[in-house]
Amino acid sequence: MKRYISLAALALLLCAVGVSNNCIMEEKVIEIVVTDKTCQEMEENHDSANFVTPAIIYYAAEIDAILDDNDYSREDMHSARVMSVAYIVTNFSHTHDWTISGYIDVERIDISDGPATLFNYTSQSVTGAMGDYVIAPLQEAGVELINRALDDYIAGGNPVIRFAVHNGNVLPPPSPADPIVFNWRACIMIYVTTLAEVDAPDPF
Amino acid sequence: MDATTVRTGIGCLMLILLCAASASAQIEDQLSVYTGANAIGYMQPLADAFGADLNASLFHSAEIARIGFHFRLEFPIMGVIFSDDDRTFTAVTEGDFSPEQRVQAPTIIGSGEAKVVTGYGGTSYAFPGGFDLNSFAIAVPQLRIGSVFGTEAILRYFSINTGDVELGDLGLFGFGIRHSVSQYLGPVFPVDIAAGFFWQKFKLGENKDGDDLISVKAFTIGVQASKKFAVFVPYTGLSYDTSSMDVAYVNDSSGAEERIDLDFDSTKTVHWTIGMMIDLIYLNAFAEYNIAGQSSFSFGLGIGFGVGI
Repeated sequence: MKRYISLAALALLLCAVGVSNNCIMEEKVIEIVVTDKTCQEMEENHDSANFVTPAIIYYAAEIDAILDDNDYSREDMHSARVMSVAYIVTNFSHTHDWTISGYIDVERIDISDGPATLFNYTSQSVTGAMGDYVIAPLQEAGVELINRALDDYIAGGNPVIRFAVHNGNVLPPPSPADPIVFNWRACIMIYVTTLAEVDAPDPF
Repeated sequence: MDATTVRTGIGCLMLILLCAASASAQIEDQLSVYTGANAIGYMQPLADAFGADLNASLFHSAEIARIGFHFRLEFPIMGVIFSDDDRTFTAVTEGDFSPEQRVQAPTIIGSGEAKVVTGYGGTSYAFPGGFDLNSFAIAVPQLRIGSVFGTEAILRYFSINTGDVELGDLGLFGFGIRHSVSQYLGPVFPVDIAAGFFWQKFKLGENKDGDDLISVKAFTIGVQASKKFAVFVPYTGLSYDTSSMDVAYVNDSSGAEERIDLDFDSTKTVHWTIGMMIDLIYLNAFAEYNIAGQSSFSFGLGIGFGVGI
């Protein structure tokens, strides 16, 4: 009987030590999600309702910075997609409000892709966009263009996107004596997923 | 069991704990996109598992000598097996994503694959994956020493500085008392009876602010019974357990860093233990199953000497 008990104790000991070494550790591949935004500051100063304000976004550098902030690199990336776009007026000092209408489009300038409308804004009060971000009602064509740029980045490319405001209407109409002047910021929120291999204790 | 085996055992326990610390660095990454209810839903299975594990393996016999020195160093491994229900939770999209959607997303122990949903205008939202765990176990060295008037003390302690600023430290301190009730019942009472309590605090990982990422407190109070048959000691116990978990991390899902402090509601559960110890002269081995809100099991070895161990 004692022999069996000793064997049982030895088996338990070996099991405990074995479990404690390699048996319990399993390599897991987990998909980590990082969210961040890339923002573009814009300055508007116009004396007519019809104006175009372009901005160039070096998307590769923007995503490099996001990854670097989170201790990841391009090689770690698995996927990336647009989550939302929002804008806010950051500086406005007129004595009266303006209502503006138009659209914003995006176009790749490193390759031929676009332009495609990202979102329309209709009767947007300038003062109404101060304080809190306004969520943009996105168009699929523009979102898909940015998503393709993100895919190209993962594949090793360096996408550059031209972001342009096409304003078509302003009320009251601006003039040289009363130009529409304001600063605003547009932010594209994206998520990035990375694959990480983690040795996690999963003994049973 | 020689000194080398003991050192190996301690080394292995440390290995388990260091690996847990390694995983903790990824936990903060995964949590960093979540706030409030999503973070709680994501972490809840781990909170339940911590509570169940910590409140297990605190006794393996109800026999405590009234007077006499005894000392035992034990190496229990406490584990839980997760059910399918633990693998997902109802998550809600956060931030400016629209429309708001509720989906079944992986918990921390769920699938490693992120859950992606689509919204207006071709936008997408991703819920992070889990660690794809079937089980979760803690191995803790514990010391049992007594006895004075049928009372023994139990101590659990370890502290590891990983030397890595991202991993931080991890450690556990626990203290409890058990008292023999049998001494008041007379020698003819058929089984040994004891009662006791145990409190412990466990911390794991370090967040970006330099504070503990996960901090768990557990408390149990209960009664135990056992009967010795030669070297076999079947034992059982009924206790009332509480456990709570705090998680502090930095959320940067909106692009700006924001500290999030999550206080998980205290889990309270009645806990029934059934187990068996094989009690050799200086060595004993034990295995038990614990039926509670989150059931768990435990097994391990102990070495010691003295009266009534």
